[in-house]
Amino acid sequence: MSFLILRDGKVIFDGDAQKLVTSRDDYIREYIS
Amino acid sequence: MPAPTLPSENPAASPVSPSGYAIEFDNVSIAFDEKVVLDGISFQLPHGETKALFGVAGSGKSTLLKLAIGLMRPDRGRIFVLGDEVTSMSEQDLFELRRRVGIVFQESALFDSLKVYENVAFRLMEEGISGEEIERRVREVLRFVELERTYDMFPSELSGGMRRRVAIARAIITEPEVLLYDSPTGGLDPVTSNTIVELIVKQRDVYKTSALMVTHRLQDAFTMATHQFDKATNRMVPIPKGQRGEVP
Repeated sequence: MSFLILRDGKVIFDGDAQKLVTSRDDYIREYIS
Repeated sequence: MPAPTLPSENPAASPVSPSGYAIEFDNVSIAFDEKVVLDGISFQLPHGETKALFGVAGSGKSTLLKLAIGLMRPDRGRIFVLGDEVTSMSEQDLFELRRRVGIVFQESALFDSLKVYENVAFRLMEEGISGEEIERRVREVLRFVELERTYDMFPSELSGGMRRRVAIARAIITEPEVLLYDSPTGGLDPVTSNTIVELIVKQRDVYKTSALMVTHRLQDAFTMATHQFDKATNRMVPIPKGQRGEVP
């Protein structure tokens, strides 16, 4: 199971759940909060 | 409730493709009226894996699914599905490829004038399969989605969740090698959404089909990442700690 997040036409995340929840990207952290 | 008989696993699923992936996007871009919707998108979906696709409204998620089955052509880049380069295929070849891909649309997209069994059987009828074989397979997939009792009903007699389950039955009756879900829980309440997620997990773990799933509900994808289908109980159960990543 993996996750892909699009923003403004680009892939800003592609990885598994653990990598997602530990991301330091502010947008991603807000997105998953 | 006793667990229903599960359909046999599809030995033809997940073949090795020349690209090595079920789906591969390589630097794909597309714009509409000067507005860039996808800009240099690259990713791979390995065989047998499910990838959840997120993004705010208008971020190009549904466009990406349409590109994957050749309903749109990108301005730039290459797309491979099951080893075939979609971006260079003729319409006839795309038609053949789409027979190997199941699609669950956002609003179920059932034919209101057709009964459930006719909706589910639609693609098989187009292929000239015998009536006896069609009935056997329709009953099998309706049993899989736990809706065999709706065989003779019309879509208008079903709840939103039931219609979504019928849409999944229709998508899997051809035993596709890849499944594309476009917001399969969109518009459903949380409890009903969870039953659809459970069904998607069941499909994933029984058939091992590769899947790309557009969703607005992050929790759905986290549930899928932390649960597995248990054949003994015919239910989705948590994956034991230590066998999965730490997610909320």
